[in-house]
Amino acid sequence: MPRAAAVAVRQSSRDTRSDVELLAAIRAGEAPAFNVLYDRYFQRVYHFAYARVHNRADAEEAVQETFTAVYRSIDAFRGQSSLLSWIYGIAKNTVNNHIRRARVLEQRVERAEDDLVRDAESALESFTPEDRLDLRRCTEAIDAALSSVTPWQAEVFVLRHFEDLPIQEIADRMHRSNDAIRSSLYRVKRLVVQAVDPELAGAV
Amino acid sequence: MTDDTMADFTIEELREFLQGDLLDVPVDPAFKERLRQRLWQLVQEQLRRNRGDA
Repeated sequence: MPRAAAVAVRQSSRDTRSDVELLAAIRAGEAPAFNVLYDRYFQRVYHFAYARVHNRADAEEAVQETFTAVYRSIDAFRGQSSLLSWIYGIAKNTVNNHIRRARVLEQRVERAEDDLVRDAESALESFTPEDRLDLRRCTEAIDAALSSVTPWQAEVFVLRHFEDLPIQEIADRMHRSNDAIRSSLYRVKRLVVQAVDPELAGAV
Repeated sequence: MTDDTMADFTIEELREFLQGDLLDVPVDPAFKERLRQRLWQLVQEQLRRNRGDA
């Protein structure tokens, strides 16, 4: 850790101001107060999310969503409850929504896989044993690629390539910009192509 | 939840939330610092907007 950052962390952990005092200082534009409050809550929110989603990528996404929601709505905080319970409420809602979205995605992928299996079964009748082997390798490669990315990136890929939704509609559904959706699609598509046919990956 | 109305949770839940201070969880320090910078930017943008000089 750079010396300046280490000093800042030590000062941050020594600051005895209350949450409300820190909030007032942040509203006045005081960066050290922001750092103290962030350090005070980061570990709590991170541990809370990690204990529920059980992996680092999803925990980071939930932590980012929680803190973004906290600071976007900080003007609305009037001190009628403690900042602790307010932040906890946001963390709980955010993590629960995250888990719900992941479950919906899982169910949607399962349904899409069932449809694919049904379609494939009728097509399989005309397949040679080599065709069947290729198809199986391809399906396993796509599954592996989609499970290596975060749930929202996998969902974006499914919405675009399995459900044929336009970019704008996906962006609206996911509450992300069109550029973020395009960038995610590009990244996941590369992974899928790399998994299915490494020789083609360079051309994507 | 965008204002400070009480949400549906108990004191035990809050206690568990606070215990996060004592537990060792594998945090990526780079992620923590990236998020810190992004949030501080967000705060500064909001302060500028509130002052009306955005």
